[in-house]
Amino acid sequence: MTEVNLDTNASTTVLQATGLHRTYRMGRVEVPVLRGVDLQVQEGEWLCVLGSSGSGKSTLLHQLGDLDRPDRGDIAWRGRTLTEMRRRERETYRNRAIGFVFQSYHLMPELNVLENVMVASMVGHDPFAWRSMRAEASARAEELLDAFGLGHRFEHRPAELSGGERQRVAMARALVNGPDVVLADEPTGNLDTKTGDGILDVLAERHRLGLSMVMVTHDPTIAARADRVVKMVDGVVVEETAST
Amino acid sequence: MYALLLAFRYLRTRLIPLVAIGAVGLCVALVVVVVSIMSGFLYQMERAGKTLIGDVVVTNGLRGLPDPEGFIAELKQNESIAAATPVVDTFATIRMPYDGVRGVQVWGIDPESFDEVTGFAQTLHWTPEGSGTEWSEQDFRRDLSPELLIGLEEEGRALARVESDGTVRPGICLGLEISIGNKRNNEGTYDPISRWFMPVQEPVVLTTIPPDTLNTTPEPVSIAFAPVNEFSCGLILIDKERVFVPLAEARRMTNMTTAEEVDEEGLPTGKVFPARSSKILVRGNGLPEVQVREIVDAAYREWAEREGHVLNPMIFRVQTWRENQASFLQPVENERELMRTLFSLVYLVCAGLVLAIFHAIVTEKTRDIGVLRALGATRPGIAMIFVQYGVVIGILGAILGVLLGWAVVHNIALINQAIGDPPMAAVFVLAVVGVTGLWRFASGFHSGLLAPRVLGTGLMLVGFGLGGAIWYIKANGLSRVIWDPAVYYFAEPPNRMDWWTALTTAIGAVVFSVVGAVFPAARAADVDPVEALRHD
Repeated sequence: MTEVNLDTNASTTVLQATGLHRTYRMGRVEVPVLRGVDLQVQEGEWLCVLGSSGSGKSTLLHQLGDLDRPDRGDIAWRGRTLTEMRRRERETYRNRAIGFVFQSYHLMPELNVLENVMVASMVGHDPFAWRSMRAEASARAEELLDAFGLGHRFEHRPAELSGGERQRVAMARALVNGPDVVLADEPTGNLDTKTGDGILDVLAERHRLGLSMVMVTHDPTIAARADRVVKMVDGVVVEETAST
Repeated sequence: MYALLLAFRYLRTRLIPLVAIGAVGLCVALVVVVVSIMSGFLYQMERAGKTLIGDVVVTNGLRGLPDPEGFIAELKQNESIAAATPVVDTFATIRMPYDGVRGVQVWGIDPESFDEVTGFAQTLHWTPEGSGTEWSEQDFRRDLSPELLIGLEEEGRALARVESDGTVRPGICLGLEISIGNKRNNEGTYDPISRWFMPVQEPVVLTTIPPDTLNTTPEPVSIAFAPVNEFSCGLILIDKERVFVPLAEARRMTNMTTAEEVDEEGLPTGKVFPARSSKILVRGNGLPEVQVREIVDAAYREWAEREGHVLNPMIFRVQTWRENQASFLQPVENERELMRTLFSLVYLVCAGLVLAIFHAIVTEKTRDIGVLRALGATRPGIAMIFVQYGVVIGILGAILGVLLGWAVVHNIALINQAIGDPPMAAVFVLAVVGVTGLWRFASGFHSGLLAPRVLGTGLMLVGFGLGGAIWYIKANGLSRVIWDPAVYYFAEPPNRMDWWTALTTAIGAVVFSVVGAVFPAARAADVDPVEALRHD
């Protein structure tokens, strides 16, 4: 991947969504999912987007992560809008600036634990560049997996792991490139309460170290752990509260 | 890098790519086997054809070539020419000792120079080495002494027999398929009938009518020859038609001997016409045959002009052996190219197979594609996973196909024998397959599952059906070898690998595997990441 300079003017606002609209077409029916969402994510902030199913919170996350484009409105990363970025820059943005954590982990069954984490680094480098930084990426992946209690699981396949372990591998993959923001979509949705709490503890620890996070959930108890909570209903932010 | 990693991992962890590799391999093997056998057939025909012709043939229609010995003596001064020999070529009837009469092609040769050009002596059958050693207890050849065989070889090389009283008889060397004394068996070797062991038989008689060049009524000429040996050039078409006799006798049979000119009153004018031959065969000194042809053509024209021989450009020919045999070789060469072209359609099968399989794999891997896009993978990067996957499948399939093709071509005689006359062991193996099928069917019946019952039925049909058919064929003596050496030109199907075809087919398979992978790869690259992540 082409090296792209993503450094922009330092700002305490890492991500900013302005007037996001997104409508999906289901056959002949148009379904508006986002209807003018404004959102800011500050440096080092843990922001929770709370909402029921169909409120548009996952779509908002996809927009922030550049997996989908808004019909109207824009997203700015450290003051620079995604629409003004070239295609390669946006791919680099997804690879370096953003880390995704999905509800269903989305690990690749053919790769072992270490490879699942390292694949995020591989994607960001061409084969020649990868050769020179492979050792560094491997050390970084091992360090994260060690920190998440998976130091003895490097060679295991995802099918050999528990749900909590899989999600920790997915978090290591999201963090391996040192992103500015982690976008987590119901990261504990498939886990029991105890295991889910463990995952949240790990994320909270990373947050304490300065990681910015946007987490979507429908669970108010999870939202309560965030710095700030925005509530979405029918594609609109209806309420914003800061945790005490 | 991730593209290559995933391509190899998808290959190692799934069954369907192995099916694709197997299918590509079978396609390649099919082309390699068919074209190799056709090429081998052509090669054997060429080799056999060249064995009896040399590099270049000079001909001049029925009238023949005047004073060939004079021209040859001059031609051999040229360092590019290794050997040359005159040949008289005609047709005759042959009366065999067992009162059989049939037509044969007669070649009058000078054995020594003919051997220098064509390796004729190597084709003699009755020699200490040539007639084989593995004979049954009843085979009369066990009783042939080495001295007798050495003597027959010498007589064959000289085309003459010295009788006990010192007289020299002209000898004849017959193609091995001419006499009823040599009966070709299914293994391509010969079961001789001792009663008609030709070299000890009474003389055979050739009768021919000399070609008419003077508008007179030609008289038949008959000459008796002692059958001194038999030859086998490897091409049955020649072995069953041709006989070799001394050049002088053939000239007598065709009126190509030295002649004196006479005036209207029948008195000699003093002018002598030299002896002629139907053709002159030439072997070059390692030069390409086309180059030898140019040298011989120029030399003959210069010699003929100097000697006052007028050449008719309509009938005078100097040809390479390949041009001379074109009517014989060209159809086979055309057939081979036709086969190559038709069987090249398997490339499309390769592409179609890979396309269908990759389409399924892309659908199955849609979520992985979404994850990779979320991790920042580019569209070309995603496409490269599947293109490289296609390359790997193409390469492995091509290697498998070439190896399989080589194994089949190398063992074609064995396979031919096994298919035509399968061993009883095959019946037992198939019986085991049938019993396995029965067991699978029973277990499926017990568990209520359909798949084991279908599999079991298939195995039973193959095992019991095929096994029963083979048993019936063997029990009733209905075995039939597909490549029957008693029928085909050559004793054994050709087993010469055509490596050039193998290479081009392998490359074609890789290219078309990639072609088949391109569309699914592009489809993968265009997958909407959001939709892909929702894909289950």
